[in-house]
Amino acid sequence: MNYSVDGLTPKSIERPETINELSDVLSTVHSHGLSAIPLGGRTRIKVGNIPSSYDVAIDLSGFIGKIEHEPGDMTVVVNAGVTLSTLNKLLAAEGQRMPFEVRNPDKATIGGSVASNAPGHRQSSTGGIRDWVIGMQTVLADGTVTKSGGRVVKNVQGYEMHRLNTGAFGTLGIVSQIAFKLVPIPAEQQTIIAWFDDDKTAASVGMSFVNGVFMPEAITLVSGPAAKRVVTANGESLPPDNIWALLIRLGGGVRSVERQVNEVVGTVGSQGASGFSVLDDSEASKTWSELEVIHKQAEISARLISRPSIALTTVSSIEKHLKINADSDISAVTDLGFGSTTITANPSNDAESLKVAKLINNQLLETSGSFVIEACPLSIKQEMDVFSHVGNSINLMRRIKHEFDPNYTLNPGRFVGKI
Amino acid sequence: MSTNNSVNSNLISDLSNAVGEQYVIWQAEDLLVYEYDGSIDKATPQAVVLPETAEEVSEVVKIANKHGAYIVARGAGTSLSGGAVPLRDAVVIALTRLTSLIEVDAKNRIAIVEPGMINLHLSQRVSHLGLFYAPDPASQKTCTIGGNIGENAGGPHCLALGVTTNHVLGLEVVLADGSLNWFGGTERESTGYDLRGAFVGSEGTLGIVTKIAVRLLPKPETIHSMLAAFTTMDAASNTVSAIIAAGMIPSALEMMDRKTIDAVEPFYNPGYPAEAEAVLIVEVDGLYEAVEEQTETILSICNQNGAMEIREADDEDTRTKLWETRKGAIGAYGTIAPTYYLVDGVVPRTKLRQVLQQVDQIAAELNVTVANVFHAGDGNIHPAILFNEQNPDEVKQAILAGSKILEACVAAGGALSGEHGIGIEKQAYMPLVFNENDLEAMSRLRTAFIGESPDNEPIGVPSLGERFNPGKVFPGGAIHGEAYGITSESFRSTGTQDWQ
Ligand SMILES: Cc1cc2nc3c(=O)[nH]c(=O)nc-3n(C[C@H](O)[C@H](O)[C@H](O)COP(=O)(O)OP(=O)(O)OC[C@H]3O[C@@H](n4cnc5c(N)ncnc54)[C@H](O)[C@@H]3O)c2cc1C
Repeated sequence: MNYSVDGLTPKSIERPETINELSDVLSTVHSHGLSAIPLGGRTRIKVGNIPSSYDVAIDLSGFIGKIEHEPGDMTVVVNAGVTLSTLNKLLAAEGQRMPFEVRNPDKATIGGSVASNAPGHRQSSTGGIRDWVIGMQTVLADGTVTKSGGRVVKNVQGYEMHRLNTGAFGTLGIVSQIAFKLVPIPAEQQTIIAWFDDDKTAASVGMSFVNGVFMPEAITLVSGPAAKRVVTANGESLPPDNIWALLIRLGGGVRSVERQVNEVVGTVGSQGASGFSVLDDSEASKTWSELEVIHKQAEISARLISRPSIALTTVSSIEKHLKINADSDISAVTDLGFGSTTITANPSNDAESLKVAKLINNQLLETSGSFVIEACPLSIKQEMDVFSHVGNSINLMRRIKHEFDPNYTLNPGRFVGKI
Repeated sequence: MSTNNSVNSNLISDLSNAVGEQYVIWQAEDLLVYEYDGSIDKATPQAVVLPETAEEVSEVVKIANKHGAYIVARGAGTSLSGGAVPLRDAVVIALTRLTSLIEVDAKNRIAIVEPGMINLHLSQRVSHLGLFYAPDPASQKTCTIGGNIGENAGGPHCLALGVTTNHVLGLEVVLADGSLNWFGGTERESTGYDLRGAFVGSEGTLGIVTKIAVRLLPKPETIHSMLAAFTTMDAASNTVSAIIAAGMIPSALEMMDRKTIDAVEPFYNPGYPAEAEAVLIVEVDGLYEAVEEQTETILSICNQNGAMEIREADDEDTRTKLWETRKGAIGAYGTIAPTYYLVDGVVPRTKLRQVLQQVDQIAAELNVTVANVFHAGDGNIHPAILFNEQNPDEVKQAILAGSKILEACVAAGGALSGEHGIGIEKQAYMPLVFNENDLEAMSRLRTAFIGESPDNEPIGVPSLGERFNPGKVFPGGAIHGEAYGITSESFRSTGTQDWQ
């Protein structure tokens, strides 16, 4: 197993399987003044600033002892090391599923997904992970085991530490166990892909669904070379080069999905799509996984979260500014329901890489919203904060870090403002 | 309990200079309405200030700091857990003049409001755009969105749509040093720690919200409401479980028991069957086709569980009529007893039946009257203990019954509160769920926000660690029912829930 993070390798590796072992590991690390990085499936370990130090790897992939599914309550309490796929398989037996998706669910652990607030396509309709976490157990930097929230779908009892720790990238404590609300698996799902030869039409058709009478489960606009890849992924004959693809997944009862499909097909047909196709299950999964591959392969990848209309403007201005770099393979995948866009690039050489990364960064700095450079060459990481600025609340964030991890034991230097 | 016997005239004059004399209240008789909220606890503030802008709020916080006064934010004062009760001679900052709708971005479905805006007003103001604000506490005609942030309020339609925290995008907050900070923004997520997530539901103990960015939702194509009457609470509870088990999350799933029916009958004359022991309201919304599919399933589940009567509504007027008993239930308790203590606890949905039976037993053992009206879909029970506050014994029994009910909720794997918060009311029960380490971690968050309370503090200077809304949430801050002679010895809670 590869435990290196941004080129640094740990001096030792711990693989706790129980809460007592995890607590012991942390209290030892802490009392020796060492630093530690918790790792799950390592699918998002590259997201973050370069660690300022890295002594111990805490591998949580074996921290899987507990999955308590209560189908009647539609809740689950699960250990951090369990992967999304494993969990979903179990839930599916009762007709339920996790409300959110992540990229690479066979490897991604629940803990890593929560800690890094991992994105996924269904955010269009179900929002972020934070909306589904109802309770959490975390182990603080000194090994103290704490919990907050509860395991019932609704609870307000004390401060919601579980929200603070969702997306904190393990800088305040190690997320060891999480309680979630679940959702039923819809009776029917359908994916439609439509392609357009101008971005304005694609965007406005997409937005008309977001603000329509039903919210698609997932609604994604793909621009750049990636558009062609997703369209051709299921054997569609080659469309022209400059296309924008709209991917729409619909879910619900049988009759409801039938109506949704009719509306989508009717709209894309009459609003100027140059082609569309209603995909069967295997075609749909090929298409959505092509998007995963695009994200995974990207040498540079930046994720912007903004108001949906602003995300669209940003995408078109990035396209305009970066068109010159034809061989940089720049694409954008925009979640119209959630308001986020991931810009991916694969420049042909290092010099080009630096140029493209800077251009993307500059463009995002001008946009209202926040962003994370999720992947980029190390040389670029060394020069910047991969997270966008958070204004004067950075002071409070530093005080919070100081309260929970004054010695900077956990993930030092990796978070916003190099916290 | 503190009384307002010494007016700090320097403080009053500083406050008057900041916001205008007419917006500072300090005469004993004028302070009376600010002594209590919707709970049974009370305390007198030192003064009440009504600022008009975020900048004035910031100014008031700095002035309070200078004079070493505690601060309590207040919206409409409908909190049911003592959240807005000003302990320790606090200065109350009432946000009722900050009511503007600052921005509506219909295309991206976002609104920015001031904290004093009444919850229902927001939905009314954006209605012409085909949008609404989802969290709908039963008190939505009076409570403020700022207060909803304080308590992380829920409501009948939060079953499918989520509670306040799920709809808040960003907050402008005045911190203990008077500085204005933005947590989050107008986007679904932002980088850094989720400060808005940590702030929502912090019951006014971490700062004062002066602007709120929220998500708006498009109105559904159609809404269908059903009301079913059952001969037993068990049958109604089983219906709730069966609906969830069928893979549906209706937009609302509410229940009323016989005592509640008795209370609402004279007010609204719904004419429910005389043998009905429970009434269930189920609502579904969305596309016509989806609503039709779900309605069919729900009606057949109701029938399978022996519903004795079913009413349906799919237009606005009929729906309003169908809902009015549910919405007016708490007010109608006045016909049974002068005062109610509305307990708020959550149980796993599958344990509803069991816990409701326990509530009955507790009521019988302690000889108190309990009526139930609650959010059955998410297991959020609201036993209303009806009593006469003039009778100290009844008060004591009511509070004791409340503590027993909460113990039963926790023992069933539930929570101390689903939406009303901890406040004064439930702080003594926090150890039922959380151990010292859990509570200590929470207090670290408060320290990060407010600052540590210094050792050797001079007497009379408030502990910096509790600058905002002192004596709330954490055990030991105040005694629930102290005004009625309850002491810390009266009840003792033991044991910690262990859900790990
Ligand atoms: C009849 C009735 C029915 C109810 N039904 C429901 C229901 O269905 N669901 C539900 O959740 N609740 C319900 N409640 C409880 C109550 O209405 C809610 O808790 C509501 O959110 C309180 O809003 P408020 O404006 O009255 O706040 P207040 O009572 O004034 O304050 C509540 C808390 O928020 C803090 N606060 C207020 N404003 C701010 C601010 N600007 N910044 C920071 N902190 C602030 C206060 O300090 C206090 O701790 C009901 C109450 C009544 C009386």
